[in-house]
Amino acid sequence: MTANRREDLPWVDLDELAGTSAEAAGNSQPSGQENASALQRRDFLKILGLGGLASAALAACERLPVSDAIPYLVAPEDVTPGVAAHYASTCSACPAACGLLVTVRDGRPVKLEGNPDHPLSGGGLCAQGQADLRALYDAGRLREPTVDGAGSTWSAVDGRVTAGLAAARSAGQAIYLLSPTAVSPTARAVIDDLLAPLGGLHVQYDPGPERASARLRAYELLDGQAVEPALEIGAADLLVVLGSDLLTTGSEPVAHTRSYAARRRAGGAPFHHVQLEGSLSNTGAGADQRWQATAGERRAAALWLLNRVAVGVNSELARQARATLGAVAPPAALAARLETLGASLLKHPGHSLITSGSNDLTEQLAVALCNRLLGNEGHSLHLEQPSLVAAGRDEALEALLAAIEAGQVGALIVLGLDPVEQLPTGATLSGKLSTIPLVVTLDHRATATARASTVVAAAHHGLECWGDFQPRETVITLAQPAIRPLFDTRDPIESLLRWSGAQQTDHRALLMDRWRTQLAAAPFVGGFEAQWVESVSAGVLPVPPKVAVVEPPVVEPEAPVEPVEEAPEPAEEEPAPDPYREVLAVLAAPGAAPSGGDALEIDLVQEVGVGDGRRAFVPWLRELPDPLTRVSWEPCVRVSPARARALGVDDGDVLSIEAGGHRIAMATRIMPGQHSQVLAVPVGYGRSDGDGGDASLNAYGLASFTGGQLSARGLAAAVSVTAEQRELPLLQTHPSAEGRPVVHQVVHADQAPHVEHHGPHRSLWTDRDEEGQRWEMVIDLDACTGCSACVVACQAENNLPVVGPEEIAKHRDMYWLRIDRYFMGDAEDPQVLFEPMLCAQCANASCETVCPVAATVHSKDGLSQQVYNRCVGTRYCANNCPYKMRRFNWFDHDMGDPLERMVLNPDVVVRERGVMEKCSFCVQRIQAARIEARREGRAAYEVQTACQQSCPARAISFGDGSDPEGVVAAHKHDPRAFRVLAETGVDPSVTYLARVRRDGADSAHGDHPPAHGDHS
Amino acid sequence: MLIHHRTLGSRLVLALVALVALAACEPTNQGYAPPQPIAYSHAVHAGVNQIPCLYCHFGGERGRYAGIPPASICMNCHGEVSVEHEEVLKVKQALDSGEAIAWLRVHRVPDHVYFDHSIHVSAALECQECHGPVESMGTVQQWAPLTMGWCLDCHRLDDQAQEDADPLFVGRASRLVDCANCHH
Repeated sequence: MTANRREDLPWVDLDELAGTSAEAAGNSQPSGQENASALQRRDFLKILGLGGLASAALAACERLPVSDAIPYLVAPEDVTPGVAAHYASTCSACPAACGLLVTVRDGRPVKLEGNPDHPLSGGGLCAQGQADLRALYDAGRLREPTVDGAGSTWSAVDGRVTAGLAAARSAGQAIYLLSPTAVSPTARAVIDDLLAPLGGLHVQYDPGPERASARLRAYELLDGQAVEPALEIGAADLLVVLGSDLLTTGSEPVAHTRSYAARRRAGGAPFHHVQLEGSLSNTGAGADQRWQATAGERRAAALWLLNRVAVGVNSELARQARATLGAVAPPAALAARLETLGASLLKHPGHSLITSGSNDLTEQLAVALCNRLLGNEGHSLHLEQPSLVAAGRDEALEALLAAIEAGQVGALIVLGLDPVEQLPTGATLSGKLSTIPLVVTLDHRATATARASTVVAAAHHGLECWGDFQPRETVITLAQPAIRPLFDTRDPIESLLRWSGAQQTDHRALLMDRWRTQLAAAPFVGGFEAQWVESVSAGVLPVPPKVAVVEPPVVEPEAPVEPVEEAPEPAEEEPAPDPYREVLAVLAAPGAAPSGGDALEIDLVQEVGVGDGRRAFVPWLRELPDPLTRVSWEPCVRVSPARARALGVDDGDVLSIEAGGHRIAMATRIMPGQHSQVLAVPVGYGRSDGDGGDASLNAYGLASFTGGQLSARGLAAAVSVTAEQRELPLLQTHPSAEGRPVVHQVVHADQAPHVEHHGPHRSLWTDRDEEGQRWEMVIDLDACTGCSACVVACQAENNLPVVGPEEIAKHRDMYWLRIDRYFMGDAEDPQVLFEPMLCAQCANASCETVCPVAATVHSKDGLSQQVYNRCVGTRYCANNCPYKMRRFNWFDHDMGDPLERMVLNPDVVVRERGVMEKCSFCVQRIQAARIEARREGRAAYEVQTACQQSCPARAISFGDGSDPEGVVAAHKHDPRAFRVLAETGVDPSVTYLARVRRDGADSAHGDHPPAHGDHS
Repeated sequence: MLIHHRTLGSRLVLALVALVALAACEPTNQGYAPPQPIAYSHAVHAGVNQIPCLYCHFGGERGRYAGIPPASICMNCHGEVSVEHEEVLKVKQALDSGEAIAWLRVHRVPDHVYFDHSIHVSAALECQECHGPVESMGTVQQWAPLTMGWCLDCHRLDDQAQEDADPLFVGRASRLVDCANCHH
């Protein structure tokens, strides 16, 4: 079968690519249960049947148990029991501060969704944000403040902290407050008010491996002001990304994905994305061209591009750059491709964007100057309106750690962070904390830092707090509490206010006072108070925008792009003021040479599930399979196939990795697309507040400070193979696509995918009435980044249980929506495709035909319904599903303790053992929308499924396919449309739009037709 | 593995007992009329005084549950009327003390049924069609069996004339027999 594999066929597993998968596929069919168990099962069923009859006999005449019905004494104005209310708020899961709509049922939040009115996130919400709801109800939350490790009162806390701060102040010791980037202007002001009289310092640290610190330093050197440029990917025609996963784990994944997907979708000038990276990322997986490059090669590439651009651009800065920089050699492996890329960049002045995820100052300076020379500032990246969500400076962090080391710190306040387990020096820090007289942690978790603290000011969860957020100067969003505080906790801002002796300690009143003053000049109709109420309800505070200064591109490419020789640069042209001299000198200095030879290097990466580890305790995120490795629960080192062969390791073999004086031991996962010299290691595991605190899984220790910056990429490391093996709980285990083209990509948006049309089959089914309503979904694979927000949204909406690693390893996951990952092309350098799969609600559903008890039947509006109370669990339907999208409840799954069960959606039944389940197209939402429309006398109504709502890329469309004017009908006529396994005649209701992967950098400006790949 | 004859016999007997029990008695709460903590009479309020059902059970128009009215609704009238009545004093006392009144729930469908009052109310169904002559009940009782078959008795009516007259509401009801309309 594989001898004549078509080259454009997707593959799943390296064996399949090598042509040895036929046997593997046969072997890997989930084996039947052990033979010995057959008789036992028969016995079991007999007894079950008997027991069922007996209990039916006993129960038949019994009443339902008596239950109380306790109404309100005085009903709150906006609460009707059983009717959901939606409150706008802002997500506090990370500094990106995306907009939220909190669905509140009977006083408790049951679902978080994106706020479509948010100017940046625009309705999307990432996996971390979705899962923040589960964190609210987590049993491990702190329930009261503690002093010296024992439960205490708030007055004791306040007394201890104010006394401790005063003591540190009078002893002349340093006082620090450590937090992630404070996106809240009010929080920043409160922190300043607390620290200023004490002479304290505020240090911001965002633990993720993609750090903004070097970029902030670069702009500080260039312009005297440390700013994080706000990216506007939508304004670029050519996007060059150097080692950054900006779409899924960067500082603003939702906003960036939204803008990226919108740009890919938009007509007009073609969009082209080039990615240089050593570790395969979701962002790189979607690139039109992905070039493997080590950290050293990426830095060299940035410098070479700067040189090339300086040569091609006619401006004073370019001339200076040419004069100072001298010749730079491109990385040999990339030379030809970089040459083409350089030429392409010069053809897109003002319409390209280069961005880097490196924390290397040289690389960031080169990238910043490239963007400046190309005139991208003010277009695809904004310095006037910078991003305010990543302000952490590693220089300050290093100074803090040095001060702690030297015993100079008298008081340390930690706000919403776990430095002990999220810093490279965490292991030693934990011991050092006991030498600091006062360590205060404000957190809602008993983190390792909290346990080492003198005082733990148990904090509200973000959904219990008021708040304001300012991700851009002109974007201000608000958070309002969606539930009363569950425990004896306190808003951390209120704690800080009390410790600073402020008169006003009410967070809400403080917010109002602040914005009333700040926006005094704003022309609000009806005055500030009316505007405030409206703004809280919308989640966004309107701010009169500054007059945007948008200049045309400041540079023009020289007519013939010819390298200018450095030699004839005359000395007398030396300009008097030379702001760039120092910067260019930094760049001209010989940096670290690209790691030559075959040396291994480590990239620390962040997974979409566990993230930076802050929410590693949330079971939804632990179970979430990584979209690239498809591994759930277990952290794993990603190793390229060639490197795995060289090391003699296979999936699950534990590698020992030592760097920065820290050693970890993690299982191997062979990852096609990984650079053969680069191993990717996820952070966020091994936290005591997550997965038990096995320090050998905590990769933060591998990072180290280099020149003031915390370096997490291209780390030199000693790697050795251990004898240990771990079982990897895998989600996508079938090693082959069986030669079927289940996923497609094309080279331009008007191209149809190569679908084999089989002759007309004789249908086994009688034709259904084509007239009626039919719910259908369209998924645009060109927009999908595999970020998995939809998977968690589905889990939250539909009460999906978490089954644990052992069950996952037995193929017993319960996901109704999974994101399959396919490769195409070469094993070492493949193209990667993501394909969200869910029940296709087939019109001729093969599952329905085989159910002996009619527990799965078709509805008039085109849904394949699963009726739990009829299901007897034969599992014939699952066997007969061509998409393998049915899930069987092998157990009554543990939905947690009563607190954790508060997260359950009351509109969806919790399924019990022995029952089959699957995606329902969020039928509860369809019913609710239908009822609302009928109640209001409307014939038309729109429904958003949970997955569709959460998608930052807006990749999912949903609607009535029978409506010729509808959104689904429009997409179905897209040339890229195809349906998976349509040849089986099941008539699925899910249509996919093929991925567009443009060929060659030159297609970015459309003057070359695609080189190849049109198979039709 | 052989099944012992005696075991088989006892199993058959059990199965028969179960079948007889199932046939003899439908699992419904029809006729259930528990004594309530406050002797509230629908006959007085809805019957004699003709207070519209939805005045108190306002949830019926808005969403899934018609709901039991909050005690403050009672006081809308009883602040003026029958202020000293023994049963009214119980309501007032609950309000004053802040102690909720634990009524006993009469109508209840199983947890896997998602029934929505508002769509039935907005389709202009009389409350009595499902709840019976509540206006004559001293103590409320469950009048209808509230079984799935009983729901479908209406939803399976194929009334083309009615559908033509009002395609949006009542007519459609006769086609709403998909499982997922109520079970999800």
